[in-house]
Amino acid sequence: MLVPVRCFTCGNLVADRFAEYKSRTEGGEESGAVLDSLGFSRYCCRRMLFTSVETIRQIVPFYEAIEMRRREVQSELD
Amino acid sequence: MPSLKVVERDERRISVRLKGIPAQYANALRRICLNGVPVFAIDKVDVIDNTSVLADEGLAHRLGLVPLKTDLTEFTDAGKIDVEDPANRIMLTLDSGGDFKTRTVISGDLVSEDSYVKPISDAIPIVQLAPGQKIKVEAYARLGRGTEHAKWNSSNVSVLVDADDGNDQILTVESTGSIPPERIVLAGVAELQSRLDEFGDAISKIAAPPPAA
Repeated sequence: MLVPVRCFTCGNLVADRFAEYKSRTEGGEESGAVLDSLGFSRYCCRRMLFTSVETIRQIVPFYEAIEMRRREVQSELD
Repeated sequence: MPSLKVVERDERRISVRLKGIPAQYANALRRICLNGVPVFAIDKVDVIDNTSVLADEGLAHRLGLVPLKTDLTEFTDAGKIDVEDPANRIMLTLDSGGDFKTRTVISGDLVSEDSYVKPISDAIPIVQLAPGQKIKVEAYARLGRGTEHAKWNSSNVSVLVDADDGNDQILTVESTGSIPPERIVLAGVAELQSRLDEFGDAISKIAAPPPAA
Protein backbone atom coordinates (compact mmCIF):
# COMPACT_ATOMS: atom_id res chain seq x y z
CA MET A 1 0.00 0.00 0.00
CA LEU A 2 2.87 2.34 0.94
CA VAL A 3 6.60 1.96 0.35
CA PRO A 4 7.96 -0.85 2.53
CA VAL A 5 9.81 0.59 5.52
CA ARG A 6 12.81 -1.70 5.13
CA CYS A 7 14.35 -3.82 2.43
CA PHE A 8 12.73 -7.29 2.49
CA THR A 9 16.06 -9.03 2.08
CA CYS A 10 18.67 -7.17 4.13
CA GLY A 11 16.60 -4.99 6.46
CA ASN A 12 18.12 -1.71 5.33
CA LEU A 13 15.89 1.31 5.84
CA VAL A 14 14.59 2.45 2.45
CA ALA A 15 11.28 4.26 3.09
CA ASP A 16 12.81 7.58 4.13
CA ARG A 17 14.44 8.07 0.70
CA PHE A 18 11.43 7.13 -1.43
CA ALA A 19 10.00 10.67 -1.68
CA GLU A 20 13.31 11.97 -3.03
CA TYR A 21 13.69 8.98 -5.38
CA LYS A 22 10.20 9.52 -6.77
CA SER A 23 10.47 13.26 -7.27
CA ARG A 24 13.84 12.91 -8.97
CA THR A 25 12.84 10.09 -11.33
CA GLU A 26 9.62 11.90 -12.19
CA GLY A 27 11.78 14.92 -12.90
CA GLY A 28 13.45 12.94 -15.67
CA GLU A 29 16.54 11.54 -13.97
CA GLU A 30 17.55 7.95 -14.66
CA SER A 31 16.49 5.55 -11.86
CA GLY A 32 19.84 3.78 -11.65
CA ALA A 33 21.76 7.01 -11.28
CA VAL A 34 19.36 8.27 -8.58
CA LEU A 35 19.70 4.99 -6.64
CA ASP A 36 23.49 5.26 -6.89
CA SER A 37 23.47 8.80 -5.57
CA LEU A 38 21.13 7.84 -2.71
CA GLY A 39 23.69 5.23 -1.67
CA PHE A 40 21.76 2.05 -2.45
CA SER A 41 24.48 -0.27 -3.65
CA ARG A 42 22.83 -3.68 -3.23
CA TYR A 43 20.27 -4.86 -5.75
CA CYS A 44 17.93 -6.04 -2.95
CA CYS A 45 17.49 -2.47 -1.70
CA ARG A 46 17.43 -1.00 -5.22
CA ARG A 47 14.48 -3.14 -6.29
CA MET A 48 12.52 -1.97 -3.19
CA LEU A 49 12.42 1.61 -4.49
CA PHE A 50 12.52 0.74 -8.19
CA THR A 51 9.42 -1.49 -8.11
CA SER A 52 7.33 0.26 -5.46
CA VAL A 53 3.82 1.42 -6.39
CA GLU A 54 1.98 3.30 -3.66
CA THR A 55 -1.58 2.08 -4.11
CA ILE A 56 -2.68 4.23 -1.15
CA ARG A 57 -2.49 7.19 -3.52
CA GLN A 58 -5.21 5.58 -5.64
CA ILE A 59 -7.46 5.01 -2.62
CA VAL A 60 -7.07 8.23 -0.65
CA PRO A 61 -8.81 10.46 -3.29
CA PHE A 62 -12.06 8.57 -2.66
CA TYR A 63 -11.84 9.43 1.02
CA GLU A 64 -11.07 13.03 0.13
CA ALA A 65 -14.25 13.06 -1.97
CA ILE A 66 -16.29 11.54 0.86
CA GLU A 67 -15.04 14.19 3.27
CA MET A 68 -15.73 16.98 0.74
CA ARG A 69 -19.28 15.71 0.28
CA ARG A 70 -19.75 15.44 4.03
CA ARG A 71 -18.72 19.06 4.45
CA GLU A 72 -21.09 20.16 1.68
CA VAL A 73 -24.01 18.39 3.32
CA GLN A 74 -23.00 19.82 6.69
CA SER A 75 -22.89 23.37 5.37
CA GLU A 76 -26.30 22.94 3.70
CA LEU A 77 -27.75 21.72 7.01
CA ASP A 78 -26.23 24.69 8.89
CA MET B 1 48.50 -13.33 19.75
CA PRO B 2 44.98 -12.68 18.48
CA SER B 3 44.29 -9.10 17.52
CA LEU B 4 41.62 -6.89 16.04
CA LYS B 5 42.38 -4.01 13.70
CA VAL B 6 39.99 -1.56 12.11
CA VAL B 7 40.56 -1.48 8.35
CA GLU B 8 37.78 0.83 7.26
CA ARG B 9 35.10 2.72 9.08
CA ASP B 10 32.31 5.24 8.56
CA GLU B 11 29.07 5.97 10.40
CA ARG B 12 27.20 3.00 8.89
CA ARG B 13 29.79 0.28 8.33
CA ILE B 14 33.02 -1.01 9.74
CA SER B 15 35.61 -3.50 8.50
CA VAL B 16 37.75 -5.25 11.08
CA ARG B 17 40.77 -7.44 10.44
CA LEU B 18 40.75 -10.48 12.72
CA LYS B 19 44.24 -11.87 13.29
CA GLY B 20 44.89 -15.25 14.83
CA ILE B 21 41.24 -15.92 15.60
CA PRO B 22 39.86 -19.42 14.89
CA ALA B 23 37.37 -19.54 12.01
CA GLN B 24 34.58 -20.93 14.19
CA TYR B 25 34.99 -18.16 16.75
CA ALA B 26 35.10 -15.51 14.00
CA ASN B 27 31.96 -16.94 12.42
CA ALA B 28 30.16 -16.97 15.77
CA LEU B 29 31.09 -13.31 16.14
CA ARG B 30 29.77 -12.58 12.63
CA ARG B 31 26.44 -14.22 13.41
CA ILE B 32 26.10 -12.39 16.72
CA CYS B 33 26.86 -9.05 15.05
CA LEU B 34 24.03 -9.79 12.61
CA ASN B 35 21.25 -10.68 15.01
CA GLY B 36 22.59 -11.23 18.52
CA VAL B 37 23.07 -7.68 19.77
CA PRO B 38 19.93 -6.32 21.44
CA VAL B 39 18.32 -3.18 19.97
CA PHE B 40 15.05 -1.38 20.53
CA ALA B 41 12.02 -1.86 18.27
CA ILE B 42 8.33 -1.25 18.71
CA ASP B 43 6.71 -4.46 19.83
CA LYS B 44 3.26 -3.64 21.24
CA VAL B 45 0.88 -1.04 19.86
CA ASP B 46 -2.30 0.13 21.53
CA VAL B 47 -4.53 1.54 18.80
CA ILE B 48 -6.77 4.15 20.40
CA ASP B 49 -8.14 5.53 17.14
CA ASN B 50 -7.48 4.52 13.55
CA THR B 51 -9.80 5.64 10.76
CA SER B 52 -7.06 5.48 8.10
CA VAL B 53 -7.18 3.10 5.13
CA LEU B 54 -4.41 1.05 6.70
CA ALA B 55 -5.62 -1.72 9.04
CA ASP B 56 -4.50 -1.66 12.68
CA GLU B 57 -2.11 -4.58 12.14
CA GLY B 58 -0.65 -2.91 9.05
CA LEU B 59 0.00 0.21 11.07
CA ALA B 60 1.56 -1.79 13.91
CA HIS B 61 3.75 -3.67 11.43
CA ARG B 62 5.07 -0.47 9.87
CA LEU B 63 5.75 1.03 13.30
CA GLY B 64 7.58 -2.12 14.33
CA LEU B 65 9.98 -1.86 11.39
CA VAL B 66 11.01 1.72 12.19
CA PRO B 67 14.64 1.48 13.39
CA LEU B 68 15.13 3.13 16.79
CA LYS B 69 18.37 4.58 18.14
CA THR B 70 19.67 2.42 20.96
CA ASP B 71 22.29 3.29 23.55
CA LEU B 72 23.77 0.01 24.74
CA THR B 73 26.03 1.67 27.32
CA GLU B 74 22.88 2.34 29.32
CA PHE B 75 22.21 -1.39 29.45
CA THR B 76 25.43 -3.04 30.55
CA ASP B 77 23.69 -6.36 30.95
CA ALA B 78 21.22 -6.08 28.11
CA GLY B 79 21.00 -9.84 27.72
CA LYS B 80 19.65 -10.29 31.24
CA ILE B 81 16.94 -7.62 31.05
CA ASP B 82 13.41 -8.85 31.66
CA VAL B 83 11.71 -7.67 28.48
CA GLU B 84 8.25 -8.45 29.85
CA ASP B 85 8.71 -5.91 32.64
CA PRO B 86 6.81 -2.70 31.75
CA ALA B 87 9.64 -0.71 33.38
CA ASN B 88 11.93 -1.75 30.52
CA ARG B 89 9.58 -0.51 27.82
CA ILE B 90 9.66 2.85 26.16
CA MET B 91 6.42 4.42 25.06
CA LEU B 92 6.12 6.31 21.79
CA THR B 93 2.90 8.10 20.97
CA LEU B 94 1.50 9.13 17.63
CA ASP B 95 -1.49 11.46 17.37
CA SER B 96 -2.30 12.84 13.97
CA GLY B 97 -5.18 13.76 11.71
CA GLY B 98 -8.21 15.99 11.46
CA ASP B 99 -6.45 18.18 8.90
CA PHE B 100 -8.16 19.86 5.95
CA LYS B 101 -5.66 18.46 3.49
CA THR B 102 -4.31 14.97 2.87
CA ARG B 103 -1.10 14.51 4.79
CA THR B 104 1.53 11.85 5.24
CA VAL B 105 2.22 10.81 8.82
CA ILE B 106 5.98 10.40 9.21
CA SER B 107 8.22 8.82 11.82
CA GLY B 108 9.11 12.34 12.98
CA ASP B 109 5.56 12.63 14.33
CA LEU B 110 6.31 9.87 16.86
CA VAL B 111 6.81 11.35 20.31
CA SER B 112 9.14 9.27 22.45
CA GLU B 113 9.21 9.43 26.23
CA ASP B 114 12.95 8.76 26.08
CA SER B 115 15.33 11.41 24.82
CA TYR B 116 17.62 8.91 23.07
CA VAL B 117 15.37 6.11 21.80
CA LYS B 118 13.92 7.75 18.70
CA PRO B 119 13.49 6.80 15.03
CA ILE B 120 16.83 7.05 13.21
CA SER B 121 15.12 9.03 10.46
CA ASP B 122 12.25 11.50 10.72
CA ALA B 123 11.22 10.99 7.10
CA ILE B 124 9.81 7.44 7.18
CA PRO B 125 6.21 7.53 5.91
CA ILE B 126 3.87 5.60 8.24
CA VAL B 127 0.50 6.19 6.58
CA GLN B 128 -1.37 8.74 4.48
CA LEU B 129 -4.40 10.37 6.04
CA ALA B 130 -7.23 11.86 3.99
CA PRO B 131 -9.07 14.85 5.46
CA GLY B 132 -11.19 13.71 8.39
CA GLN B 133 -9.15 10.58 9.02
CA LYS B 134 -7.31 10.17 12.30
CA ILE B 135 -4.84 7.93 14.00
CA LYS B 136 -3.92 7.85 17.65
CA VAL B 137 -1.67 5.11 18.95
CA GLU B 138 0.53 4.27 21.90
CA ALA B 139 3.46 2.12 20.85
CA TYR B 140 5.78 0.31 23.21
CA ALA B 141 9.39 -0.35 22.24
CA ARG B 142 11.54 -2.96 23.93
CA LEU B 143 14.92 -4.57 23.54
CA GLY B 144 14.99 -7.72 21.48
CA ARG B 145 17.18 -9.83 19.23
CA GLY B 146 17.04 -10.52 15.53
CA THR B 147 16.64 -14.22 16.29
CA GLU B 148 13.11 -13.40 17.46
CA HIS B 149 12.11 -11.03 14.64
CA ALA B 150 14.19 -9.34 11.92
CA LYS B 151 13.08 -5.90 13.13
CA TRP B 152 15.52 -6.37 16.03
CA ASN B 153 18.47 -7.16 13.74
CA SER B 154 21.46 -5.06 14.70
CA SER B 155 23.08 -5.24 11.24
CA ASN B 156 21.91 -5.31 7.66
CA VAL B 157 25.01 -7.08 6.47
CA SER B 158 27.64 -9.01 8.38
CA VAL B 159 30.19 -10.84 6.26
CA LEU B 160 33.43 -12.63 6.91
CA VAL B 161 35.99 -12.95 4.11
CA ASP B 162 39.54 -14.20 3.98
CA ALA B 163 42.14 -11.45 3.74
CA ASP B 164 44.37 -11.30 0.66
CA ASP B 165 47.28 -13.02 2.40
CA GLY B 166 44.98 -15.90 3.39
CA ASN B 167 45.86 -15.94 7.10
CA ASP B 168 43.53 -13.32 8.53
CA GLN B 169 39.84 -12.73 8.15
CA ILE B 170 37.99 -9.49 7.55
CA LEU B 171 34.66 -8.95 9.25
CA THR B 172 32.48 -6.28 7.67
CA VAL B 173 29.41 -5.10 9.57
CA GLU B 174 26.83 -2.67 8.22
CA SER B 175 24.63 -1.26 10.96
CA THR B 176 20.89 -0.70 10.56
CA GLY B 177 21.56 2.70 12.10
CA SER B 178 20.30 1.80 15.59
CA ILE B 179 23.79 1.36 17.03
CA PRO B 180 27.11 2.65 15.64
CA PRO B 181 28.90 -0.22 13.82
CA GLU B 182 31.94 -0.26 16.15
CA ARG B 183 29.61 -0.70 19.14
CA ILE B 184 27.99 -3.69 17.42
CA VAL B 185 31.36 -5.45 17.13
CA LEU B 186 32.28 -4.64 20.75
CA ALA B 187 28.87 -5.72 22.05
CA GLY B 188 29.14 -8.80 19.83
CA VAL B 189 32.42 -9.85 21.47
CA ALA B 190 30.89 -9.37 24.95
CA GLU B 191 27.77 -11.27 23.92
CA LEU B 192 29.80 -14.16 22.52
CA GLN B 193 31.87 -14.31 25.71
CA SER B 194 28.78 -14.42 27.92
CA ARG B 195 27.22 -17.14 25.73
CA LEU B 196 30.40 -19.22 25.92
CA ASP B 197 30.51 -18.80 29.71
CA GLU B 198 26.89 -19.87 29.95
CA PHE B 199 27.56 -22.85 27.72
CA GLY B 200 30.63 -23.79 29.76
CA ASP B 201 28.61 -23.67 32.97
CA ALA B 202 25.90 -25.86 31.49
CA ILE B 203 28.44 -28.40 30.24
CA SER B 204 30.29 -28.59 33.56
CA LYS B 205 27.00 -29.32 35.33
CA ILE B 206 26.22 -32.16 32.93
CA ALA B 207 29.76 -33.54 33.11
CA ALA B 208 29.72 -33.96 36.88
CA PRO B 209 28.93 -37.66 37.41
CA PRO B 210 26.12 -38.51 39.85
CA PRO B 211 27.45 -39.74 43.21
CA ALA B 212 27.78 -43.52 43.25
CA ALA B 213 24.96 -45.26 45.08
